[in-house]
Amino acid sequence: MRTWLGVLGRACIEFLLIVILLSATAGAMLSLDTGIKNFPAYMARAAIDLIPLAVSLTLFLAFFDFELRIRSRIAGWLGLLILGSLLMAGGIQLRRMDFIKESLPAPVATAETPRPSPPGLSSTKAGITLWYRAMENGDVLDAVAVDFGSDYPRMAYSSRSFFDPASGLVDIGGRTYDAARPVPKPIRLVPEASVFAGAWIWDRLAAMDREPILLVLAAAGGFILLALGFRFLCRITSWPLANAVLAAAGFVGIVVLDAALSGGAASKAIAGIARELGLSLQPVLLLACLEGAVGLLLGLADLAAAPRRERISDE
Amino acid sequence: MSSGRRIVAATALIDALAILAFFAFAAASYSPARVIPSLAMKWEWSEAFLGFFRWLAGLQFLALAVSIGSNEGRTEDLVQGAILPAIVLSALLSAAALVAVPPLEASRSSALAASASFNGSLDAARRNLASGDLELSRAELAVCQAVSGKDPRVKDLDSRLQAAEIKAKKEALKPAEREAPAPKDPVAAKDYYLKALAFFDKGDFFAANWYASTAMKLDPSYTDARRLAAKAWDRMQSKGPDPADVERAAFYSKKLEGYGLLRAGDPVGAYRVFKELANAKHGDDPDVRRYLAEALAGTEKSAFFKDEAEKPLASAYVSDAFIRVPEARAAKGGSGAASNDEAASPIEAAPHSAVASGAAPVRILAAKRASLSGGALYFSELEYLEAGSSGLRALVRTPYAKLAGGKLFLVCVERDRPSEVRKPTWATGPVSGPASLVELSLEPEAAFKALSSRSAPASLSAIEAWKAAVEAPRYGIDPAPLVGDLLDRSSLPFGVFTASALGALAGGRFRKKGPFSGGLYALVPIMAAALVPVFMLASRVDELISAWSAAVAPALASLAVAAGIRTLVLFVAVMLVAGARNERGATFDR
Repeated sequence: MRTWLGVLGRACIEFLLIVILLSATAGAMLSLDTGIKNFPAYMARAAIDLIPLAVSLTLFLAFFDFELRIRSRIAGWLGLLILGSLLMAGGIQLRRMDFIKESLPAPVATAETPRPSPPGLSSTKAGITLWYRAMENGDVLDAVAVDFGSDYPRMAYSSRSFFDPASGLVDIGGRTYDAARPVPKPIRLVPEASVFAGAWIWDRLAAMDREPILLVLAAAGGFILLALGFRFLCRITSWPLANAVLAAAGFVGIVVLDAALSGGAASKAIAGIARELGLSLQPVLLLACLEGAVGLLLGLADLAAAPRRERISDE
Repeated sequence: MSSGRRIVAATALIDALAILAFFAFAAASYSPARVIPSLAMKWEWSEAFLGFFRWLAGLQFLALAVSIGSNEGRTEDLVQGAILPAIVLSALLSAAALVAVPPLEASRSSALAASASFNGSLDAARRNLASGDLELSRAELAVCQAVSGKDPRVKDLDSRLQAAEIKAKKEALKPAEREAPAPKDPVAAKDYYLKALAFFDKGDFFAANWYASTAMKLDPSYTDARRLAAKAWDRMQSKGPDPADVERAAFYSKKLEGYGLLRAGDPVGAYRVFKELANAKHGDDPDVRRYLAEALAGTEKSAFFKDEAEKPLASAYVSDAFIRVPEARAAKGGSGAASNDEAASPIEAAPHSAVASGAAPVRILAAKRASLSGGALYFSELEYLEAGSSGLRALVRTPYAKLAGGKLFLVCVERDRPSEVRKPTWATGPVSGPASLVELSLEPEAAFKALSSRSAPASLSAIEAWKAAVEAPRYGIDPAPLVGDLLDRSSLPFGVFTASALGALAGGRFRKKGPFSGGLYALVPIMAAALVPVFMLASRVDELISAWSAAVAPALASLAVAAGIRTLVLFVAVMLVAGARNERGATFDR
């Protein structure tokens, strides 16, 4: 029992470290888009938003600890279920405390007014390079534009042109050019997410803040059971290192699978099958049931599998 | 095998396999439409090594994890034994990456650029041949030949083009063109007649005949000239019934024409004449040799040959070149004094100017392509602008230009077809100085580095990139992309060291209990594939560190911020490795 509690405690510490790392990354990404000065507030906000991700990551790390130290697989399963449920429920409850959310600013992309590109330095946008010497009373001086995408000759010059602060455009030789400072390309950690129509588990749970708590817990529970079902990855081969690497890839796969099932054609297909079976449940509950069922089946298969010969005793 | 040796062997094996895998991937994704066959191998190897260095951190993680994770012994002993080889390997591979990546990037870029140039020109040559524009087709084919003359497509097109040219020549010979009569000029005719007389008196009947004939052409009513020409011709004939005399007379007159052009300050025209004579089997004539050399020297002082520019501009070039001539170095001359001329559209001349407000004159160079070769910088489709106290002072455009020896040469001559001369078009200026060049005190190498730093910063060495980031604003170039590139480069050593530490940690923690079966190594490729999404995610977090550092600190200071964050991450990884021990239940191999 002491070992079992020890593993749970260690997992809770790992959870805290994971939350800090994830929220720092997300806070940095959000503050890059909307303003560096908001980094601490965004980090705190992201810490609440990303709890579901941190919980699932903690569960995957805990798979190995339970596998190593707890001989009873049922005790291991129970420990993981309790760990996941407690952390997830705590996270959901934290999200639903209005005063916390109200005290943290939500990251909102502000439509900034165009700023002119720095004087004396060329800037290139859509194949057009623009340079000007200085700015004086709202005019750009000695502006040179070269449209490399057009036929030769391409150079246009104006000794003084009005910079329109509303549009960021300047008129050079009868043609308008974009003289606004180029906006850096936003960084997305998972740009591949755009290929499917679904939403990440943490985004879906965040969107359910005003929904009944049982519905939210059901959605979260389905995801946790699905994650727990993949515990078999921690002993799929006799080489623990290979298992760890496969589990890392499996974790990415589960998060993506959950998101893919939550939207688009997959969501419609699940709803269609449910209708055929006479189940009239909400889409959220349908998905939770499906994920929970898959997780439980995989978990039962894992429990039924013969233990390894070199099984390690916990004491 | 000791822990250290296992690490070196595993790293060597995994890295070699990775390079081969990247090469195979490059070979599989090869397309002749993108890279021409003669450059395929160069491109494939560049891609393979660039891919290897891009994934180096992930490969180091895998190598360390596998070598320690398949070893026997106490975790702390294994990790301790891994420290030195891991550090040495990480340092060597990071240094190799920092040194090798810029030339590899340059090699890949040049292969892609040359292929794009080749394919574009081949298409254009075919199009022009089909539409009957043989001259343009030949010019485009010359670009293809400069890039890859041995390509079978080039040879095939060349033979088709030659056939079309022969056919066109035959057709052109049919309707004999009548020479347009020269305008009457009795004064010049008199001068030529007097020269003819002088040559006649000296007994130089060839020269006398040519000058008298020229006088006759200038003034057909000049009977003395007609008479003298006939007399000189008779004397030539009377010297002996030599059928070669007619040819000799033509040769002589051509030689005189070239000489006249040379003395009149037209070395390009003289070069054209003497080159024609040299090509027409008169290359042994001492006069032709002497004046051809003199004309060549004169041409090189005021123009350049297209073949000098053709190959570099077709193979290793910077496209969409834009540079401001730095103020301090531009003070030498420029294209001449101020001009009040109104410029043609789209150029606006206005009273306000750079100098009026106390600023230095603005000098801008823009070109479709720029390429450095033999210490000179060549441009195609160049535009040069100079704005001073009275607004626009000079604006010139030229198909080809060469920057060397403090001069921007604007006239380009075809070496083998000297009649083909590409001349500049001045929209404004020049007010003083020749129209064929602009005095411009700009170092070609420095200018090319500045241009490269703008379009392909990854092809510069780390030191060059650092210098370029400092120098860029002088050339009107935004240093931000360069700083971004330096941030990316500086992340590699941190990434490799951190990955090595984490790999050692993973290998130590997840070792197999008991003896290790060799068959388990078959799992390594699957493990490598499984690590791909994890490595990609880690790479993006690393990019985020670069971007965030660039956002919080200005220019080069962001390098220090990024290095600080990455050092912190590395420190945490090293601390985790340092804490690895064979604690009860911590590993699988108790």
